[in-house]
Order: sequence, then C-alpha cells, then structure tokens
Amino acid sequence: MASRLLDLPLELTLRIFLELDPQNLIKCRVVCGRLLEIITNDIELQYLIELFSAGMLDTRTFFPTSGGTIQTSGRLEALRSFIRTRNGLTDLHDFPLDGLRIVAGYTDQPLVQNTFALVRRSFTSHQIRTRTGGLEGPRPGSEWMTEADPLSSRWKHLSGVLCWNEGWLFHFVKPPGKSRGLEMRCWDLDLRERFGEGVLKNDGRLLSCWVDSYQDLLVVPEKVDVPQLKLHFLSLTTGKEHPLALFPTYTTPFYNHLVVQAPSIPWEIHRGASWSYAVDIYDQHMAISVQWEEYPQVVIINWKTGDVLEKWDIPFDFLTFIDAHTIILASAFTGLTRYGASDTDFSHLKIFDLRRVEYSPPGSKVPGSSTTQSIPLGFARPVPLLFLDLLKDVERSQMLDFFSVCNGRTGSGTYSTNSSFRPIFIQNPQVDIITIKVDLISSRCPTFIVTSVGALLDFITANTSERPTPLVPREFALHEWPNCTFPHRLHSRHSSMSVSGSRLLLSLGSYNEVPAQREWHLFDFNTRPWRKEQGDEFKSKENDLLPKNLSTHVGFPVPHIKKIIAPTFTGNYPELTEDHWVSFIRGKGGNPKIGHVAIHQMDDVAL
Amino acid sequence: MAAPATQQIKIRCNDEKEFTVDRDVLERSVLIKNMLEDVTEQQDAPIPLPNVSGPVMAKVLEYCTHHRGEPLPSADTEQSQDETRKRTTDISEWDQKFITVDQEMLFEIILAANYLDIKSLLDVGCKTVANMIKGKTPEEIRKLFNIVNDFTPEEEAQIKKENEWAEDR
Repeated sequence: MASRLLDLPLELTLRIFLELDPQNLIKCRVVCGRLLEIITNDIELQYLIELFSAGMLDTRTFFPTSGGTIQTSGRLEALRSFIRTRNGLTDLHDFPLDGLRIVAGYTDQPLVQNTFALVRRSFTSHQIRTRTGGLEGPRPGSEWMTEADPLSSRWKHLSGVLCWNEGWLFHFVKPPGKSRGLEMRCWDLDLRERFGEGVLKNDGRLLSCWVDSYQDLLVVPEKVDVPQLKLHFLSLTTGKEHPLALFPTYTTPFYNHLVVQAPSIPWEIHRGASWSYAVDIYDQHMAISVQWEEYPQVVIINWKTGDVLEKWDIPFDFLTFIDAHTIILASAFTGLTRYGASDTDFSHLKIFDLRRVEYSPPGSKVPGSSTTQSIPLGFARPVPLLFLDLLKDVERSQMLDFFSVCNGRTGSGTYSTNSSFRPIFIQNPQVDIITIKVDLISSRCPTFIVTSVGALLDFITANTSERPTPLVPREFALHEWPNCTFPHRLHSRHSSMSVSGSRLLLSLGSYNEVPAQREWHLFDFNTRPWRKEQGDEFKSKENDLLPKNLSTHVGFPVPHIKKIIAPTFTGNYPELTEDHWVSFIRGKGGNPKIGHVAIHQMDDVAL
Repeated sequence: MAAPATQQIKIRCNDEKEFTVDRDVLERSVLIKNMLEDVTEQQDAPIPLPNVSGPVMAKVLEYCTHHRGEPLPSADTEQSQDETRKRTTDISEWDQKFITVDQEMLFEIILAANYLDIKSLLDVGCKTVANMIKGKTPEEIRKLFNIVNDFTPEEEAQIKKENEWAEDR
C-alpha cells in the first residue's frame, strides 16, 4: 500500500509541514528521502529549522507589519551569514548591517534631555564559538561550588564569565560546550604583571573594559596620563595579545592645550568626574572618546592597523556605532555647567557618517520625530541600548496605551496610571526583540510583554489618530504560569528573567517565607513549551542558601579575589546564553559575601 | 444575497452518487460558488464533481452544513492571515470530532477540500495530520503513514547527526 502522506500533492504536504514546529520538522527529515527532500527544498521550512537551530527569532513572527519587505530567501541568507559570522568569526565585513540606521529618526527633544546620561552601551557581543578543543582546564562535569564573591562579573553571550576585581585581576571562565566538544577554558590575567605595578596607580583601580566577542576582542584601558588613554587589545579566549592587532596597544594622542582653543560649548561631565572616556567597537573601527576638562577629543581608529581615521575635538562622552559607517555621539549635561548655562542647551546628539558626511545632526533643538520606520530584520546587529533608554522616557500614557494594545484591549485607561507601572526593558542582544516586564498594582505578579523595538517605536511615534496595525499580543503573565508549583505565592521582587535569542529564562521566587521557593522556567518563543527547569526549596538561613539538588550545574570558582565590587544584580538574577545559563544567588541578611554562581548546561534541558 | 436560501443545487460525484443541497451550504466551496456565479440560468443538470466520491462528499457536506452562514475568508484576509500565521493547532471541538475519521478518509477529505477550495476545512485537515506527526519518533511516523525508510544506514546516521546538531544547541 502506498503512503497517503507521500502521495499528497507537494503543495498540500507543505501546508501540513507548515503547521509543525521546528523540532518536529527536524525529526521528519529522518523519516525518508522524500520528506527530507521536501523539507530541505522548501525555503520557508528550512528557514524555520535554521532559525530554531540558531536559537533566534524573527520579529516578523510577532510583528508582521514591522517585518519589512525582505522575503524569506533574503532572511535565510542573512541568517546564514550571521551564523557564519558567529560561528567562525569569518565574513566580518560581509555581515549584513543595513536597516539599523533608521533609529536616528526617533530622537526627540524631551527624550534627549533625560536619557543621554544613560547612553552607555555596555558591550554587545555574541558568543564565540570555536570548534577546536585542546584547551586546558578542569574537566567538565566536575562540580565547583563556591561561596566566594560573585564579583563584578559579566556574562553576556560570551558563554563564559569574565570578572575582575577592582584593581588588577581578570578571571575568565568559559564552561565546556557539550554539543561542540569544547572543553573548559579559563585564564587569569594579572594586570600588574602585564602592565607593571605602577601604571594603574592613578586611581588604583581598573577603569572599565570593553568586549566585542564578535572579534574575540577584550579591550583593557590603562591610564597613562590624565588626558591620555592607553588601550590594550587582548584576545578573549586566551587573555593574550590579540593576534589580529598589528600593534597590541593604542594610545590616544596627547592633547596640546596651547594650540587648541577651549571649545565654545561649555561642558561638564554629568558624573562630575574631571575626566571621562568611552569606547565603542564595530568591526575594525574603534571609537574612543577622552574628555578631560575643556579638552575633549574623539578618535576613530582602525584597531587592527592602528590607523587614525578621524579625530574630532568635540565634547561627547557617550558614543555608539550604529553600523559600520555611522556613529552616534551624545552628551548629557545635568545640572548647571560651570558657565552657568542652562542644562537644556547642552544635550547633544550628533550622527556622523564615517564616509565623511555629517547628517541630520539634531543639535540641541531636535525636531520632532518625522520618520518612522521599523527595523526590518530581526537578527541584525543589536539595537544599541541608547534606544531602549530613549524608550524609558516615553510618556507614561503612551506606554500604557502600548500595553493596552499588546493585551488586545482597545483604548487607553485600561491600566490605571497610578498603578505601580514600572516597565523594565530587557534587551535581547541577538535579535530585535525586547522583553518588557511590567509590574502592575492590580496583579502582584509581573507581566511580560515581548515586543520589538521597531514595533514599539512605530507605535510611539505614530500619530495617535493613525495607529499602526495592532500588534500581535504577546503577554505572559506570571500568575498564569502553567507549571509553577506555587503560583499564588509568587513574588515579582523575587522573580527575574533573562533573554537570549529565542529563549527566555525566568527565575521565579516566592514571598519571604520559610521555606522560600525558587524555580527556573525556560521558554522558547519559537516553540513555546513551558518547562520547569529546576524546582527546589531552600531555607533562607544564611548557611543554607545554596539550592540543593542542582544536579546539572557546573559551579563557578572565583579564586584569588579579595575585594568585592557589589554585583549589579540583586537577589537572584539569572543570565542566559545559548548554551548555558548562570544563576547567581546572593546571601540575604546583609552579608553579600556569601553567594553562589552556578553555570547550568542548556544541553541538559530538553525543550 | 440575492439568491433565496431555499435554492437547491444538485451535484453528482464520480461514483454517480447525487446530492441535492442548499445553495448557501455548497457555496462554502469557492470552486462551486464560482461555478454557480458563472451560470446565470437555473439548471437542472447536476454539477459534476469528478474528483470527489460520494462518501467523501457526504462528509464534506456535513462540514459545510455545520459551518453554513459563517463569513467566507476573502482573498485579502486570506493573504494577511498567511502572513501572520501562527502555528496554532487549535481545532474547534466540533471540527475535532468531525475529523476523527480513519486515515484514508482524512486524506480524501484533505484532497476534496483542496479541490473544492474550502480553506477552513483544508486547514482542519492539515492541522490534524500535523498533530498526528507531533511527538512521534521517526519510526512511529513511518509506521503511521506506511512510509518505507529508504535511507541507507550510513545516510540515516548522517542525518541523525545533523539533527542532533540542530536540536542540541
């Protein structure tokens, strides 16, 4: 007997397959040659599978109107290019970057004033995947628990943890990647050994550092003299000099006070520091801003060759690349300047095209936003935090409207404006998806809304009388969490979340009660199953803080560290990458020294 | 709707089985709707449906009768529905019960719905097949749909390996 399924016309078979989620499609490929052929030859299905495999999400799924006009074949191509880049750090210069520049149109005066202080893009980076093994380190599977300090650590798609103490020591750990046969790798870097004992003496601590894991790049600053900054280019995977940098360091030119007039615009760094600096990296381009007293400079260099591409004497203390050619410079001035001018005159935003066109500089009088475009492709370079920060100051009423629409409710006023409305934006570093956590007084549980920056901007900038096509609602309310074992005792203050790619990790906590409860739930927007990752109970006694039975985690040792920089997270804050997630659990009772960092292998979680 | 609701239309299936049905029920099928619109005069001769058999047509008519009066998706909404298409597999309770048939009939219904151009029924059919595939192992799928595994063991191992790569991120 022939198979009815195989005998169907191709058109109908495809229709059936389009109803399947990626996991089932993947499985169908093994059934027989004909199905393999059908699935492989159909671009829509192939795109679904590859998107899923990459752990990414297409905004088009959520927001058909903000999806742009790029067809699936173009999306697949862009996705593959992106994956190649991410996997092999190849094709860096072919990476499709079109379509993000548009955000420049969204700046608006009230937004500019208040938010540039926040314009500080932390590094945006992607996981480095190398498929070579042979790295030294402890064996996977061994368990490290630690009660050492969680430190000031960063875990952003490095699939590793980079942390440093406040003075001189870097420690990097990348847990083994089971699926890629990677072994543990870790390195320590003692800045005193590397740079000499004296160099960091000026303020006795490490200033900051920048990471671009696209390029396996770690930039460590060294303060040479007040108006100068010396940058070291290191490889993140080895902690040694970066192999692609022709010169291992770059020092900003010394400013000649005598020649250069003080800039006509008075300025003052909002933090009140006597000098400040900022660095942003985009491919080979590196923008460095050193602002010292009245002598500001911004330098754009090619960090691989050491060539200086641009040098401006302009006072901007925040900068961010938008694409390979475009850089946004911003200054925030709060309070009065020393010249007594009003602060409103000196919030600046300039957009430079490195191909030597300075365009649409809004200056201090920013025209109202005129163009609204959505961000066409979900997996272009991350949207700089700048724009999320801008969004934070969107008028409350507009945001409330937005949430109303997201919830499929019409009109405003659905949410009381005096409710405890605190949207928290959580940027997805890989796709144009943001997740917004809203605490409403009406429900003591937070509500999560998944949206895209493009959609939100569309909504906000549109004339209210011509509202854009209603957004596809994506609301996740904690109190409806299907698998939570203690839904009625959930407490938003003890719950937090992290997003990576298409995955959302929730850390749910109960009220302050004994025993406290905590669960982790992992959610994939591509497939939407709800899974409980770990369920555990632990008592809120200091010595008994560590969850038991966390069998899948690899603990994270943090040796050598004596001093603590208070970690940025409070309570229990999970971070998620594609392969792993890491949980931080910090002690209660005012003893921040007791903490726990655990790295959990994503491989162990069946989605 | 100029046509009176009582207008009766005759159709003849490929096994000579004939049905007499209310016009609005038959118009669930875009194919027949278009045919009827082309014919201005009242015709007594039954409409021939050479691709559908009597038992299948009976089933299809059961569906059409239950859903009569519901708005037909226009070409425009169909377009946007495709775009915003969410892979939901929600099938209404009645449809669920209706489509609980043997596999032979299920595929016949799908083919008939495709031929007669009844989008909603086609959707129900395709979703049902998709639901049958979900959560099954490849071997179970083969058994269910009578598919012969034509891979060599090497090929199969290779594809499985690729799948692992895709699944195990």
